[in-house]
Amino acid sequence: MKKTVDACGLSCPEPVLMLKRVIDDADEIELLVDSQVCVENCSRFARSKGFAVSVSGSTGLYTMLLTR
Amino acid sequence: MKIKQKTGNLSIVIYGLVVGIIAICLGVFGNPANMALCIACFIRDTAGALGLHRAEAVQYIRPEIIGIVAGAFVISLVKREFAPKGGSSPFTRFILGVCVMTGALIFLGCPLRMVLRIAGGDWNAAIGLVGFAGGILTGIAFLNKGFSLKRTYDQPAIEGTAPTAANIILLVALIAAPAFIFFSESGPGSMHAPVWIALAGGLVVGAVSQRSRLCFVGGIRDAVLFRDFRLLLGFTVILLTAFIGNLITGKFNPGIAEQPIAHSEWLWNILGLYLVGFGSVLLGGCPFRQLVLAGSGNGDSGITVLGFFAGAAICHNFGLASSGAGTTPGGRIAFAVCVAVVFIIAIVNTKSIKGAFGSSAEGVKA
Repeated sequence: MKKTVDACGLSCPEPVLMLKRVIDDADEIELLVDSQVCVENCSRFARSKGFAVSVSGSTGLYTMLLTR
Repeated sequence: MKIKQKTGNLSIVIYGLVVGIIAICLGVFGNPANMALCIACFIRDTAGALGLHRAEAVQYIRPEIIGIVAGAFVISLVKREFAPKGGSSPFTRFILGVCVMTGALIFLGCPLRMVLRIAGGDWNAAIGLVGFAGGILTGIAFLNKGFSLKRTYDQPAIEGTAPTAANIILLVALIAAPAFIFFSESGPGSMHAPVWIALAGGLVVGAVSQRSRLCFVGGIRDAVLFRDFRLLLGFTVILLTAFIGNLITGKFNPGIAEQPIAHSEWLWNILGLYLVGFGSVLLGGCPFRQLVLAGSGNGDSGITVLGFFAGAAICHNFGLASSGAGTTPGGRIAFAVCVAVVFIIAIVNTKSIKGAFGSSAEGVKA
C-alpha cells in the first residue's frame, strides 16, 4: 500500500517518528521533508527497515520515495 | 538527485575528535577547569557582561558562543543548507529555554559540560547523567504520543541571519570593551583563552557540528527511539577524547568532593539535568545544537537562545543558580516550578492526550 507523509516544516525527530508510525504497513512511501538533516535521518531509518531510498528536490522541499 | 552519505560513522568519529581536541586546547589556553566549553555557562557569562545580571564572578563575552553561531552560519551557506525558518511555537520555545537554563545552572553546566566534567573525573556529573537520561526518556514518552511544537515556515533571509548578526555585534563589544560591558576581575568569568583562539575554536566547532548534526540530547534520544547510535557515537568520542586529553595534560582529577565549579549535592545534580534533558527533547536538541541551528537560519532556535539568556539572568538576579557551595533554596523552588511548566507544555502539545490522535495521524495520507 502506498502512503504519503507530509513532514515539511517539522524538525527531527518528528519526521522520522511519522515515518515510524506508518512504515510497517506500507510498501511504498512518499515522504515530503524540507531539510537535508531530515533527508539523512529518514534515509537512515528507512534503510534500516529494508527500504530503498530515492530523493529529489533541494533545500526547501525534498521528495523522498521509499520502496521495498 | 544523489544524496551523499557523508553522515556515516567515520565522519562523526572525526568530528567528535575535533570537538574534543578543541575543548582540551581551550582548557589549556585558559578557560576554567572542566569548563573549556559549556554553552550554559558561556551564555550566562555573556549575559553577565551585558549587565543582564550582576554576579561579578561570571561576566565575560565568550567568543566561543559567537564562533559557534558564526561557524554554523558560514558552513550552512557554503553547503547550501542555510534556510531561514521560524514560527514553530516561538514563545513556548523561549519559556523552555528559560527552564533548560535553570536546570543547567542548578547542575552547573549544559550537557556538553557534563561530558567534559565526566572526562575530567568529576563523578558528580556522572551521577547527573542518570537524571539527564531520565529527562530524555520522559520527553521521548511524549514524542511517542505525538508531542509537537508544530511546523515551521519559510522566513525572510534577514530573520535567519539575525542571530549571527547579533553575535557579530557581541564580538565588536568584546573587542571595543566599552565601559558599560562588565568583565569579571576574579572567578570563572576572569578565566579565559585569548579572544582569537577562543573565537577560532568556536568557529571550527560550530562548522563541524553543523555538518555532523552533533547533539547530546539527540544521542540518547535517537538510540532509544530508532536504535540509531550515530549521535551517541559522537557523544562518546568527545568523552573519550577529552578524557585522554585530560590525562595527557595532567588535568584528570577523579573524585566527588571539591571538583572545580561544581557541587556534590547528588540529588540536585540528577534533578537539574533531568530538567535539561526533558526540556531539550521538547526543543528538539540540546543547548549546543540550538546555537548551531540558530546560526543555520532557524529563528525558533534563535528565540530559544534568547530564552537561555533570560534564564541565566533570572537565575543570577534571583539567587537561583548553584555555586561550589551547593544549591540555593530559591533554586530548588525554581526547579519545581520549571518542571511543572515543562510538563504542562508537554501535555498540552501532545495529540493523544488531547484525544485527537488516531490512526490517521496529521500529515499522513493512505
